[in-house]
Amino acid sequence: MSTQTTPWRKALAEASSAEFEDLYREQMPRIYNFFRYRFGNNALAEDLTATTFEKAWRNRHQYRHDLSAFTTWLFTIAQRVAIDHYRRPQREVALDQALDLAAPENPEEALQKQNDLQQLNALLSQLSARERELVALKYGAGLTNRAIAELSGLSESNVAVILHRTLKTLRKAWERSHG
Amino acid sequence: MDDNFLSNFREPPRPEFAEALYQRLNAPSQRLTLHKRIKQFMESQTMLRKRLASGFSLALLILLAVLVFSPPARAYAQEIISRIGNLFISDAPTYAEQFENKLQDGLLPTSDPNAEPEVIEWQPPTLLTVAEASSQAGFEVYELVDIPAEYELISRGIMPPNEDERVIRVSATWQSPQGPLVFSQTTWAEDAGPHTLPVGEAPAEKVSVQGVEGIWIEGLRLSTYVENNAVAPKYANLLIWQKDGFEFWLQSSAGLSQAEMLTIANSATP
Repeated sequence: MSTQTTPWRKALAEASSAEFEDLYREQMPRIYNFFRYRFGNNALAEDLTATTFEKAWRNRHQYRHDLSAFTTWLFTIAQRVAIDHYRRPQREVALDQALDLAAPENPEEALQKQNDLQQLNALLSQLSARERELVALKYGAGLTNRAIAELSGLSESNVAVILHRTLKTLRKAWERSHG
Repeated sequence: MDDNFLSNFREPPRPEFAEALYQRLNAPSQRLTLHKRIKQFMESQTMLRKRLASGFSLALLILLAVLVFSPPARAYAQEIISRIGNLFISDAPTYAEQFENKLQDGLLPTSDPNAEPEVIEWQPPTLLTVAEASSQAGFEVYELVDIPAEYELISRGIMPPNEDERVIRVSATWQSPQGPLVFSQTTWAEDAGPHTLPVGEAPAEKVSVQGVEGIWIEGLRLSTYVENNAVAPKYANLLIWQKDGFEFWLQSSAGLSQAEMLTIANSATP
Protein backbone atom coordinates (compact mmCIF):
# COMPACT_ATOMS: atom_id res chain seq x y z
CA MET A 1 0.00 0.00 0.00
CA SER A 2 1.36 3.39 -0.91
CA THR A 3 1.46 6.13 1.64
CA GLN A 4 1.52 8.75 -1.12
CA THR A 5 -2.19 8.76 -1.85
CA THR A 6 -2.62 11.81 -4.03
CA PRO A 7 -6.42 12.21 -3.85
CA TRP A 8 -6.28 12.42 -0.07
CA ARG A 9 -3.79 15.22 -0.27
CA LYS A 10 -6.01 17.21 -2.53
CA ALA A 11 -9.01 16.59 -0.35
CA LEU A 12 -7.19 17.68 2.74
CA ALA A 13 -5.81 20.75 1.10
CA GLU A 14 -9.05 21.82 -0.49
CA ALA A 15 -11.52 20.11 1.83
CA SER A 16 -13.61 19.17 -1.15
CA SER A 17 -16.71 17.31 -0.03
CA ALA A 18 -17.16 15.71 -3.44
CA GLU A 19 -13.75 14.07 -3.39
CA PHE A 20 -13.83 13.43 0.30
CA GLU A 21 -16.29 10.59 -0.18
CA ASP A 22 -13.91 8.55 -2.38
CA LEU A 23 -11.05 9.17 -0.04
CA TYR A 24 -13.11 8.24 2.95
CA ARG A 25 -14.19 4.96 1.30
CA GLU A 26 -10.55 4.13 0.60
CA GLN A 27 -9.11 4.74 4.04
CA MET A 28 -11.94 4.02 6.44
CA PRO A 29 -11.85 0.19 6.11
CA ARG A 30 -8.12 0.25 6.86
CA ILE A 31 -8.60 2.23 10.04
CA TYR A 32 -11.57 0.08 11.04
CA ASN A 33 -9.61 -3.14 10.64
CA PHE A 34 -6.62 -1.67 12.42
CA PHE A 35 -8.83 -1.21 15.48
CA ARG A 36 -10.47 -4.64 15.04
CA TYR A 37 -7.08 -6.31 15.12
CA ARG A 38 -5.92 -4.06 17.94
CA PHE A 39 -8.88 -4.63 20.26
CA GLY A 40 -10.81 -7.61 18.85
CA ASN A 41 -14.18 -5.91 19.19
CA ASN A 42 -16.25 -4.73 16.24
CA ALA A 43 -18.36 -2.25 18.16
CA LEU A 44 -15.31 -0.67 19.75
CA ALA A 45 -13.56 -0.62 16.36
CA GLU A 46 -16.45 1.39 14.93
CA ASP A 47 -16.39 3.76 17.87
CA LEU A 48 -12.65 4.41 17.58
CA THR A 49 -12.80 4.64 13.79
CA ALA A 50 -15.42 7.35 14.11
CA THR A 51 -13.27 9.20 16.66
CA THR A 52 -10.23 8.99 14.39
CA PHE A 53 -12.02 10.39 11.36
CA GLU A 54 -13.69 13.13 13.34
CA LYS A 55 -10.30 14.22 14.67
CA ALA A 56 -8.70 14.00 11.24
CA TRP A 57 -11.51 16.00 9.68
CA ARG A 58 -11.40 18.68 12.37
CA ASN A 59 -7.62 18.97 12.20
CA ARG A 60 -7.12 18.60 8.47
CA HIS A 61 -5.64 22.10 8.29
CA GLN A 62 -2.70 20.81 10.38
CA TYR A 63 -1.69 18.48 7.62
CA ARG A 64 0.72 19.86 5.03
CA HIS A 65 0.44 17.57 2.07
CA ASP A 66 3.83 18.10 0.54
CA LEU A 67 5.75 17.02 3.60
CA SER A 68 3.95 14.14 5.23
CA ALA A 69 2.02 11.29 3.71
CA PHE A 70 -1.62 11.44 4.58
CA THR A 71 -1.96 7.78 5.49
CA THR A 72 0.85 8.09 8.00
CA TRP A 73 -0.78 11.18 9.46
CA LEU A 74 -4.16 9.46 9.69
CA PHE A 75 -2.72 6.38 11.37
CA THR A 76 -0.81 8.56 13.80
CA ILE A 77 -4.16 9.94 14.88
CA ALA A 78 -5.55 6.40 15.10
CA GLN A 79 -2.66 5.35 17.32
CA ARG A 80 -3.34 8.27 19.64
CA VAL A 81 -7.01 7.38 19.74
CA ALA A 82 -6.02 3.83 20.73
CA ILE A 83 -3.76 5.14 23.49
CA ASP A 84 -6.51 7.43 24.75
CA HIS A 85 -8.84 4.46 24.84
CA TYR A 86 -6.40 2.54 27.04
CA ARG A 87 -6.12 5.48 29.40
CA ARG A 88 -9.81 6.17 29.93
CA PRO A 89 -12.07 3.99 32.10
CA GLN A 90 -13.16 1.00 30.07
CA ARG A 91 -16.69 1.14 28.77
CA GLU A 92 -18.64 -2.08 28.70
CA VAL A 93 -20.26 -3.04 25.43
CA ALA A 94 -23.27 -5.25 25.94
CA LEU A 95 -22.89 -8.64 24.30
CA ASP A 96 -26.18 -8.39 22.44
CA GLN A 97 -25.17 -4.93 21.20
CA ALA A 98 -21.82 -6.21 19.96
CA LEU A 99 -23.44 -9.13 18.18
CA ASP A 100 -26.11 -6.90 16.71
CA LEU A 101 -23.56 -4.42 15.42
CA ALA A 102 -21.61 -7.21 13.80
CA ALA A 103 -24.65 -9.00 12.40
CA PRO A 104 -24.47 -9.81 8.68
CA GLU A 105 -27.25 -11.30 6.54
CA ASN A 106 -27.77 -14.79 7.92
CA PRO A 107 -27.19 -16.62 11.23
CA GLU A 108 -24.58 -19.04 9.83
CA GLU A 109 -22.52 -16.16 8.53
CA ALA A 110 -22.95 -14.31 11.80
CA LEU A 111 -21.71 -17.31 13.74
CA GLN A 112 -18.76 -17.79 11.41
CA LYS A 113 -17.75 -14.15 11.70
CA GLN A 114 -18.06 -14.26 15.46
CA ASN A 115 -15.87 -17.36 15.53
CA ASP A 116 -13.34 -15.66 13.28
CA LEU A 117 -13.15 -12.68 15.58
CA GLN A 118 -12.75 -14.89 18.63
CA GLN A 119 -9.99 -16.83 16.91
CA LEU A 120 -8.22 -13.64 15.96
CA ASN A 121 -8.52 -12.31 19.48
CA ALA A 122 -7.26 -15.54 21.01
CA LEU A 123 -4.22 -15.44 18.78
CA LEU A 124 -3.38 -11.78 19.18
CA SER A 125 -4.00 -11.64 22.93
CA GLN A 126 -0.79 -13.63 23.37
CA LEU A 127 1.26 -10.79 21.96
CA SER A 128 2.81 -7.80 23.66
CA ALA A 129 1.18 -4.42 23.06
CA ARG A 130 3.86 -3.45 20.55
CA GLU A 131 3.66 -6.74 18.66
CA ARG A 132 -0.10 -6.50 18.45
CA GLU A 133 0.16 -2.92 17.24
CA LEU A 134 2.50 -3.95 14.44
CA VAL A 135 0.29 -6.90 13.46
CA ALA A 136 -2.77 -4.62 13.41
CA LEU A 137 -0.96 -2.15 11.16
CA LYS A 138 0.38 -4.85 8.84
CA TYR A 139 -2.47 -7.35 8.57
CA GLY A 140 -5.43 -5.29 9.75
CA ALA A 141 -4.70 -2.04 7.94
CA GLY A 142 -2.53 -3.52 5.20
CA LEU A 143 0.31 -1.03 5.60
CA THR A 144 3.77 -1.63 4.20
CA ASN A 145 6.72 -2.23 6.50
CA ARG A 146 8.03 1.18 5.47
CA ALA A 147 4.83 2.92 6.53
CA ILE A 148 4.82 0.97 9.79
CA ALA A 149 8.43 1.96 10.40
CA GLU A 150 7.49 5.62 10.01
CA LEU A 151 4.62 5.24 12.45
CA SER A 152 6.45 3.22 15.06
CA GLY A 153 9.81 4.96 14.99
CA LEU A 154 11.46 1.61 14.27
CA SER A 155 13.65 0.89 11.27
CA GLU A 156 12.07 -0.95 8.35
CA SER A 157 14.27 -3.98 8.95
CA ASN A 158 13.39 -3.93 12.63
CA VAL A 159 9.69 -3.99 11.74
CA ALA A 160 10.28 -6.95 9.43
CA VAL A 161 12.20 -8.84 12.12
CA ILE A 162 9.57 -8.23 14.80
CA LEU A 163 6.74 -9.23 12.46
CA HIS A 164 8.60 -12.35 11.37
CA ARG A 165 9.21 -13.33 15.00
CA THR A 166 5.60 -12.57 15.92
CA LEU A 167 4.23 -14.68 13.07
CA LYS A 168 6.44 -17.55 14.16
CA THR A 169 4.95 -17.32 17.66
CA LEU A 170 1.43 -17.16 16.27
CA ARG A 171 2.04 -20.08 13.93
CA LYS A 172 3.17 -22.23 16.85
CA ALA A 173 0.14 -21.20 18.88
CA TRP A 174 -2.13 -21.98 15.95
CA GLU A 175 -0.59 -25.41 15.45
CA ARG A 176 -0.91 -26.18 19.14
CA SER A 177 -4.61 -25.27 19.21
CA HIS A 178 -5.46 -27.02 15.92
CA GLY A 179 -3.42 -30.17 16.33
CA MET B 1 -0.73 -21.16 8.27
CA ASP B 2 0.99 -18.85 5.79
CA ASP B 3 1.98 -15.25 6.41
CA ASN B 4 -1.17 -13.93 4.79
CA PHE B 5 -3.40 -15.99 7.02
CA LEU B 6 -3.81 -13.09 9.42
CA SER B 7 -5.13 -10.86 6.65
CA ASN B 8 -8.07 -13.22 6.19
CA PHE B 9 -9.68 -11.92 9.35
CA ARG B 10 -10.26 -8.53 7.77
CA GLU B 11 -13.82 -7.55 7.08
CA PRO B 12 -15.44 -4.46 5.60
CA PRO B 13 -17.19 -2.03 7.94
CA ARG B 14 -20.97 -2.25 8.04
CA PRO B 15 -22.38 -0.08 5.22
CA GLU B 16 -24.82 1.66 7.58
CA PHE B 17 -21.97 2.57 9.93
CA ALA B 18 -19.82 3.83 7.06
CA GLU B 19 -22.68 5.93 5.73
CA ALA B 20 -23.66 7.35 9.13
CA LEU B 21 -20.08 8.38 9.89
CA TYR B 22 -19.67 9.95 6.48
CA GLN B 23 -22.82 12.01 6.97
CA ARG B 24 -21.67 13.06 10.43
CA LEU B 25 -18.32 14.25 9.12
CA ASN B 26 -20.03 16.36 6.53
CA ALA B 27 -22.45 17.94 8.99
CA PRO B 28 -21.82 21.66 9.61
CA SER B 29 -21.33 21.09 13.35
CA GLN B 30 -18.18 19.11 12.61
CA ARG B 31 -16.54 21.97 10.76
CA LEU B 32 -13.50 23.83 12.00
CA THR B 33 -13.17 24.10 15.78
CA LEU B 34 -9.79 25.73 16.00
CA HIS B 35 -11.06 28.56 18.18
CA LYS B 36 -12.50 26.06 20.60
CA ARG B 37 -9.18 24.24 20.78
CA ILE B 38 -7.27 27.45 21.36
CA LYS B 39 -9.72 28.38 24.10
CA GLN B 40 -9.17 25.01 25.74
CA PHE B 41 -5.44 25.54 25.54
CA MET B 42 -5.70 28.99 27.12
CA GLU B 43 -7.81 27.58 29.94
CA SER B 44 -5.28 24.86 30.53
CA GLN B 45 -2.64 27.54 30.97
CA THR B 46 -4.47 29.34 33.79
CA MET B 47 -2.37 27.67 36.45
CA LEU B 48 0.72 28.50 34.48
CA ARG B 49 -0.12 32.21 34.35
CA LYS B 50 -0.54 32.30 38.11
CA ARG B 51 2.87 30.82 38.56
CA LEU B 52 4.44 33.19 36.08
CA ALA B 53 3.03 36.13 38.04
CA SER B 54 5.57 35.60 40.79
CA GLY B 55 7.96 37.64 38.67
CA PHE B 56 11.17 35.76 39.22
CA SER B 57 13.08 35.74 36.01
CA LEU B 58 15.01 32.56 36.70
CA ALA B 59 11.89 30.61 37.52
CA LEU B 60 10.20 31.94 34.41
CA LEU B 61 13.13 31.06 32.21
CA ILE B 62 13.04 27.48 33.50
CA LEU B 63 9.31 27.40 33.02
CA LEU B 64 9.62 28.52 29.42
CA ALA B 65 12.21 25.86 28.79
CA VAL B 66 9.82 23.30 30.21
CA LEU B 67 7.05 24.67 28.04
CA VAL B 68 9.07 24.12 24.90
CA PHE B 69 8.97 20.41 25.70
CA SER B 70 5.44 20.15 27.05
CA PRO B 71 2.47 18.24 25.54
CA PRO B 72 0.07 21.21 25.21
CA ALA B 73 1.87 21.90 21.93
CA ARG B 74 -0.41 19.28 20.49
CA ALA B 75 -3.42 21.40 21.25
CA TYR B 76 -2.04 24.54 19.62
CA ALA B 77 -0.43 23.18 16.51
CA GLN B 78 -1.48 25.00 13.35
CA GLU B 79 0.19 23.15 10.55
CA ILE B 80 2.71 20.36 10.47
CA ILE B 81 5.72 21.54 8.49
CA SER B 82 8.12 18.69 9.08
CA ARG B 83 8.55 15.47 10.94
CA ILE B 84 11.14 12.98 12.13
CA GLY B 85 9.89 9.80 13.74
CA ASN B 86 7.13 10.71 16.15
CA LEU B 87 8.18 14.36 16.49
CA PHE B 88 6.06 16.79 14.48
CA ILE B 89 7.33 20.31 13.80
CA SER B 90 4.49 22.81 13.50
CA ASP B 91 4.47 26.47 12.53
CA ALA B 92 2.34 27.45 15.51
CA PRO B 93 3.82 30.31 17.59
CA THR B 94 6.54 29.08 19.92
CA TYR B 95 5.61 28.89 23.57
CA ALA B 96 7.77 31.90 24.23
CA GLU B 97 5.81 33.84 21.62
CA GLN B 98 2.51 32.70 23.09
CA PHE B 99 3.67 33.85 26.48
CA GLU B 100 4.79 37.21 25.12
CA ASN B 101 1.48 37.72 23.35
CA LYS B 102 -0.38 37.17 26.58
CA LEU B 103 2.00 39.48 28.35
CA GLN B 104 1.39 42.25 25.82
CA ASP B 105 -2.33 41.69 26.00
CA GLY B 106 -2.22 42.17 29.77
CA LEU B 107 -3.42 38.66 30.39
CA LEU B 108 -0.74 37.95 32.94
CA PRO B 109 -1.24 39.35 36.45
CA THR B 110 1.59 41.60 37.66
CA SER B 111 3.37 41.19 40.95
CA ASP B 112 2.70 43.48 43.91
CA PRO B 113 5.58 46.05 44.05
CA ASN B 114 5.17 46.36 47.85
CA ALA B 115 5.27 42.63 48.46
CA GLU B 116 8.18 41.16 50.36
CA PRO B 117 10.53 39.48 47.88
CA GLU B 118 10.47 35.73 48.17
CA VAL B 119 13.80 34.27 49.18
CA ILE B 120 15.00 31.55 46.88
CA GLU B 121 17.95 29.57 48.05
CA TRP B 122 20.53 29.16 45.33
CA GLN B 123 21.21 25.58 44.41
CA PRO B 124 24.28 24.62 42.41
CA PRO B 125 23.40 22.82 39.17
CA THR B 126 23.72 19.05 39.11
CA LEU B 127 26.91 17.91 37.45
CA LEU B 128 26.86 14.15 36.98
CA THR B 129 29.55 12.23 35.19
CA VAL B 130 28.46 10.31 32.09
CA ALA B 131 28.73 7.08 34.08
CA GLU B 132 26.57 8.46 36.89
CA ALA B 133 24.01 9.81 34.43
CA SER B 134 23.91 6.44 32.61
CA SER B 135 23.42 4.61 35.87
CA GLN B 136 20.59 6.90 36.99
CA ALA B 137 18.89 7.06 33.60
CA GLY B 138 19.04 3.31 33.04
CA PHE B 139 20.53 3.64 29.57
CA GLU B 140 23.86 4.54 27.99
CA VAL B 141 24.21 8.31 27.94
CA TYR B 142 25.80 9.89 24.87
CA GLU B 143 28.69 12.29 25.22
CA LEU B 144 29.79 15.08 22.91
CA VAL B 145 33.45 14.60 22.13
CA ASP B 146 34.06 17.56 19.85
CA ILE B 147 33.16 20.63 21.91
CA PRO B 148 34.83 24.00 21.12
CA ALA B 149 37.56 24.87 23.62
CA GLU B 150 35.83 27.93 25.06
CA TYR B 151 32.84 25.87 26.22
CA GLU B 152 32.82 24.66 29.83
CA LEU B 153 30.54 21.90 31.07
CA ILE B 154 28.46 23.36 33.89
CA SER B 155 25.68 20.81 34.38
CA ARG B 156 24.53 17.32 33.51
CA GLY B 157 21.36 16.01 35.08
CA ILE B 158 18.34 13.81 34.62
CA MET B 159 14.76 14.90 34.18
CA PRO B 160 12.74 11.98 35.50
CA PRO B 161 9.54 10.86 33.75
CA ASN B 162 6.28 12.54 34.60
CA GLU B 163 2.72 11.49 33.90
CA ASP B 164 2.24 13.80 30.95
CA GLU B 165 5.41 13.35 28.95
CA ARG B 166 6.43 9.89 30.07
CA VAL B 167 10.02 10.51 29.13
CA ILE B 168 13.45 10.23 30.67
CA ARG B 169 15.71 13.05 29.57
CA VAL B 170 19.41 13.54 30.24
CA SER B 171 20.49 17.09 29.66
CA ALA B 172 23.94 18.66 29.71
CA THR B 173 24.84 22.35 29.45
CA TRP B 174 28.10 23.98 28.41
CA GLN B 175 28.66 27.69 28.97
CA SER B 176 30.73 30.02 26.79
CA PRO B 177 31.18 33.80 26.71
CA GLN B 178 28.79 33.87 23.73
CA GLY B 179 26.08 31.77 25.38
CA PRO B 180 25.17 28.24 26.36
CA LEU B 181 25.08 24.99 24.44
CA VAL B 182 22.56 22.39 25.60
CA PHE B 183 22.55 18.72 24.60
CA SER B 184 19.69 16.44 25.58
CA GLN B 185 19.02 12.76 25.06
CA THR B 186 15.45 11.61 25.56
CA THR B 187 13.74 8.26 25.62
CA TRP B 188 9.96 8.09 25.33
CA ALA B 189 7.57 5.55 26.76
CA GLU B 190 6.75 2.87 24.20
CA ASP B 191 3.15 4.05 23.84
CA ALA B 192 3.82 7.77 24.34
CA GLY B 193 2.61 8.63 20.82
CA PRO B 194 3.63 11.64 18.75
CA HIS B 195 4.66 15.00 20.17
CA THR B 196 4.87 18.44 18.63
CA LEU B 197 7.36 21.29 18.66
CA PRO B 198 5.95 24.67 17.55
CA VAL B 199 8.65 26.76 15.91
CA GLY B 200 6.71 29.80 14.72
CA GLU B 201 8.38 31.41 11.73
CA ALA B 202 11.75 29.76 12.26
CA PRO B 203 12.70 27.75 9.16
CA ALA B 204 13.04 23.98 9.60
CA GLU B 205 15.43 22.20 7.25
CA LYS B 206 16.11 18.49 6.86
CA VAL B 207 19.79 17.61 7.36
CA SER B 208 21.87 14.47 7.72
CA VAL B 209 23.28 13.95 11.19
CA GLN B 210 24.89 10.83 12.63
CA GLY B 211 23.92 9.04 9.41
CA VAL B 212 20.19 9.65 9.90
CA GLU B 213 17.74 12.36 8.92
CA GLY B 214 17.57 15.26 11.33
CA ILE B 215 16.03 18.72 11.46
CA TRP B 216 17.87 22.02 11.66
CA ILE B 217 15.85 24.93 13.05
CA GLU B 218 17.50 28.33 12.87
CA GLY B 219 16.50 31.23 15.07
CA LEU B 220 13.91 29.51 17.24
CA ARG B 221 12.34 32.22 19.33
CA LEU B 222 12.98 31.92 23.06
CA SER B 223 12.55 34.68 25.63
CA THR B 224 14.04 35.89 28.84
CA TYR B 225 11.64 37.46 31.25
CA VAL B 226 13.25 40.49 32.84
CA GLU B 227 10.88 42.40 35.11
CA ASN B 228 7.89 44.72 34.97
CA ASN B 229 6.44 42.67 32.14
CA ALA B 230 9.39 43.40 29.87
CA VAL B 231 10.70 40.68 27.61
CA ALA B 232 14.18 40.39 26.18
CA PRO B 233 13.95 38.21 23.08
CA LYS B 234 16.40 35.39 22.72
CA TYR B 235 16.93 32.97 19.89
CA ALA B 236 18.44 29.53 19.58
CA ASN B 237 19.63 27.28 16.78
CA LEU B 238 18.46 23.73 17.18
CA LEU B 239 19.44 20.38 15.73
CA ILE B 240 17.15 17.41 16.37
CA TRP B 241 17.57 13.79 15.36
CA GLN B 242 16.36 10.37 16.45
CA LYS B 243 18.64 7.38 16.61
CA ASP B 244 18.89 4.10 18.53
CA GLY B 245 15.52 4.76 20.16
CA PHE B 246 16.54 8.18 21.47
CA GLU B 247 15.65 11.71 20.51
CA PHE B 248 18.61 14.09 20.58
CA TRP B 249 18.45 17.88 20.79
CA LEU B 250 21.48 20.12 20.43
CA GLN B 251 20.62 23.73 21.17
CA SER B 252 22.87 26.77 20.87
CA SER B 253 22.00 30.25 22.05
CA ALA B 254 25.46 31.42 21.03
CA GLY B 255 24.67 31.51 17.33
CA LEU B 256 26.70 28.46 16.31
CA SER B 257 26.24 27.79 12.59
CA GLN B 258 24.70 24.67 11.09
CA ALA B 259 28.15 23.37 10.11
CA GLU B 260 29.51 23.93 13.62
CA MET B 261 26.51 22.27 15.22
CA LEU B 262 26.70 19.30 12.85
CA THR B 263 30.36 18.79 13.75
CA ILE B 264 29.47 18.75 17.42
CA ALA B 265 26.43 16.52 16.90
CA ASN B 266 28.35 14.03 14.80
CA SER B 267 30.82 13.61 17.65
CA ALA B 268 28.13 12.27 20.00
CA THR B 269 29.03 8.78 21.15
CA PRO B 270 27.64 6.50 23.85
